[in-house]
Amino acid sequence: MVRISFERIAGQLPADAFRLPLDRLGANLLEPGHLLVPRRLLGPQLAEGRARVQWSVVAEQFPRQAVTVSDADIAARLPEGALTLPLDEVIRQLPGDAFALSSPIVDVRGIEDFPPPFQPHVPPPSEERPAAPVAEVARSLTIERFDVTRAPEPELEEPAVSVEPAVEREPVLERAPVIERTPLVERAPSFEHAPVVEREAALEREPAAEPEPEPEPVMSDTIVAAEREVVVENDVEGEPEPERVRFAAATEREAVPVAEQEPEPPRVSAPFIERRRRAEPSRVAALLKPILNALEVQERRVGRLTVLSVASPELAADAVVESAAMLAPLLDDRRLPAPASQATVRGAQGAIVLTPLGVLAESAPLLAVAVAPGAPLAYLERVALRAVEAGALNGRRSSSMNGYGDGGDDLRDTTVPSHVRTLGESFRAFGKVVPTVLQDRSSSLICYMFLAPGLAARPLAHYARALREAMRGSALGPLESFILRMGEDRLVVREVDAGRGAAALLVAGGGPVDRLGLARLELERAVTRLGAR
Amino acid sequence: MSIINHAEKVINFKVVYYGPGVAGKTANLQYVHKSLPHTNKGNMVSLATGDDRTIFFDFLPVSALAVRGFETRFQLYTVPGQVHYDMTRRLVLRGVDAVVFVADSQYERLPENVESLKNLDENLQRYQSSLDEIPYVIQYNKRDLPNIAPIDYLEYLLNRRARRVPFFEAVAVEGKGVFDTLNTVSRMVLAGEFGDGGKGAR
Repeated sequence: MVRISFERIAGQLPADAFRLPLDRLGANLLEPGHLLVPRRLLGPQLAEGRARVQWSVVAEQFPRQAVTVSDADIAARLPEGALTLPLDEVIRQLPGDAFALSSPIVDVRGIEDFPPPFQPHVPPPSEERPAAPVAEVARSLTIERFDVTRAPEPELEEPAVSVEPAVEREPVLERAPVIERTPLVERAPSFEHAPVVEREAALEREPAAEPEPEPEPVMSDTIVAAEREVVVENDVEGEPEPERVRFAAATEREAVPVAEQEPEPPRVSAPFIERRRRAEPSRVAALLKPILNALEVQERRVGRLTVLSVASPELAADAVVESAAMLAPLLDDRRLPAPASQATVRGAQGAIVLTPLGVLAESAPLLAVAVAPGAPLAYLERVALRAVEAGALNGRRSSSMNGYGDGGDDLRDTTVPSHVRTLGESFRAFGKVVPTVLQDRSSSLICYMFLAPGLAARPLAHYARALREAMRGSALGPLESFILRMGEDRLVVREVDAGRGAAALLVAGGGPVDRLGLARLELERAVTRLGAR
Repeated sequence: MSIINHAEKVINFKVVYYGPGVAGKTANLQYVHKSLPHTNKGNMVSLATGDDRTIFFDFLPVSALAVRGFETRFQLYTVPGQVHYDMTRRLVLRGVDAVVFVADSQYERLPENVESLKNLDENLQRYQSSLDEIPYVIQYNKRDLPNIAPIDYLEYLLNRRARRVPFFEAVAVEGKGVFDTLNTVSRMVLAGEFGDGGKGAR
C-alpha cells in the first residue's frame, strides 16, 4: 500500500458531499490523515507520469456516516471519477530499484572522433557565476577544435562520375545520391576502409550488367562477409539501404582467408538453382555487411531446413540456429492467412529476425539474424527483406502441412468483456478489428484476439499458443513480442503480463498496417491495459 | 535530412528542440545565441506571442567545425510546445537530422513530457522515421526548481525505450547543461554522417 497524505488530496473532494469539514474528515479516515492506495494500481500509471485512484477504490476508507451523497455522485464530481495523487509522495515510497532500467544506453562511441563543435565565446555578461560544465567544455574545445578544423584534408579526387553541378547559394540538394555526396564520406587515410570514391570508381568500370554470382568455392560453412563489396545508396529519407550488390575488382577485395586458400573452382555445369543456393550466404553476407561488423554468415542444416544465421557477438551461434529451426515451422503454417515474408521475434534473452528466402517447404533457406535484447531492429529487418530476391515468395502458398489439424477445441470462446470491446474499438492503425477472447481449458492461458474482419480467431489463437510454447524452449527466452509480415499485412502477438501467475496473449492485426508507429503505440497501450486488469 | 551545398562546400544539419510548452526550448537557443561568438552564429528568429510563448518556432543558424573539407552548419529550431500547435511541430520536424527533447523536471509537468515524447514519435513516423532511428538526446531542464522528480524516475518515464539515449541535467536559463546537450547531439549527427560505420552513433 502507498500512504497518501489526506491534506494533499483534500482540495479535490466536493466539500458539500461530507457532513464533516475536510480537515476533520481526514482525522476520521480508516488510517487517520492518510489514504491507502494499492501499489499495483499505480504501476501502469507511473509509466505515464501520473498517479490517480478511482473514488470507488478509496471510498470505503471514509466514514460512511460522514458522507451525504452516494459514491456515484462523488465520483461524478471528480475528473474521470478519480483523485489525482501527489506523485512525489508515491515515488518516495517505492523501493529504490523500482525504476531501474535494464536496456542499454545507445552506443555513442563514434562521437569521440569529433570534438565538441560549439563553445561559448566568453561567459555571457549576465552570468554572475558561469556554468561549470560549459566552462569545462570550452577548455577542452580550445585544444581539440583546431585539430580537426585544420587537419590535412584528404585529397578529394573528383570521382570519375559526374558531380552535381554548382548550384545557387542556398539549400541545394537534399541528401544527394551517393555519387554526388562521395567527397563527404570519403575516409581519411587512416580509416581502414577503402574510400568510397575508389569503390565507386571501381564499380563504374564494371560492365553494366550485374554478373551472376559465381559458384561458391568454399566448402566450409562459414563465409566471411567481406568477400563482396556493397554499394549503399541513401534513400530520400536518409536511411541508407543497400542498393545493389556488385563484385568488386579482384584486386580490391579484402582478404578472405578460406576463399583465397582454395583454388578457383572448376566451372562445373551444376544446375543454376544449385549455384544460386550456394551463392546465397555470400550474397546475404554482403547485404548485411553495412550493419554488422565482423559479420559471419553461417550456413547450417537442421533436418531439411537450411539456416543462414547471423548473430551479434553476445549470442551463441548454435543457439540462434536452434531457435530459428524451432520457429521456422511457424513461418510456413497453414493457419496463417497469407504466406509469411518475415517474422521478428523478441524474447527476454534476445531478438531474431527470420526471413525465408523463398518457400521453406521447397528447400529455400531461412535467413536468421539475431541480436541482443534492445538492439534496434528496423533497419535490420529492411535489409533482411532485401535479401529476398524479387518474387522469391511471389505470394505462393506452401504445400507444408505445418499446423494442419492443430486446432482442437481446447481453446474455448468466452464472453468479450466490455473493456476488451472498448479496447478493440480504440485500434486505428490496424483498421477495423473484431475482438474475441479465447481461453485454454488446461493452462488457463487467455488469448485476446483483435483480428481483421473475416479472419478466424481460433486457428490464430492456436498459432499464437504454439509460438509461445516454442519460445519457452528457445534460447531467446520467453516470448515478448512477435511481428509477422505477410506482404503488406501484419500479425502481432504480444505476451501480456497479467500478474499473479496468469498468462495472456494479445493477437492483433492480420490485415494491412500503414501507420507502424501508431500501431506500436496502440499495442503498448493495449498490453498495459490488459495487464492491469 | 542534411542539405549539402557542393559549390560552397557546406553541409547543413537540422536539429530540433522538442518538448512540452514552457519546458525551456527557447531558453536553450537563447543561451546558445548569446554565448557563441558572432562569427559562428546568425540572427536568431523568434516568433512568439506577447507572453513569450513560441507561436511558430525559433530559428538559430550556427556554424561549427569543418569535416572532410566541408563546413558544417547546424540549424537549430524549436517547436511550439502547446498541444494545439501540432501541425506546426510536424512542419518543423520535416527533414530533421537530430532532436533534443527538452523535458520539464517538475512533477506536475511529467504527463505533458510523456505526451510530448509520444507526439514526437508519432510525428516522426509521419516522415517514415522514429525515435529508434533518429539521433536524439534528452535534457532534463529546470533542475534548480523545487518539486522536481528524481533523475531515475525521469529516465524510467522518458528514456526506457529499447535504445536509451544520452541525457543531461540542465538549468537552461543559466546555461547549465546547454552546451553539453548541444555538443553531444551535434557530435551524434556528425558521427552519423561522417563517422566510421555511417549511422553508427545513432
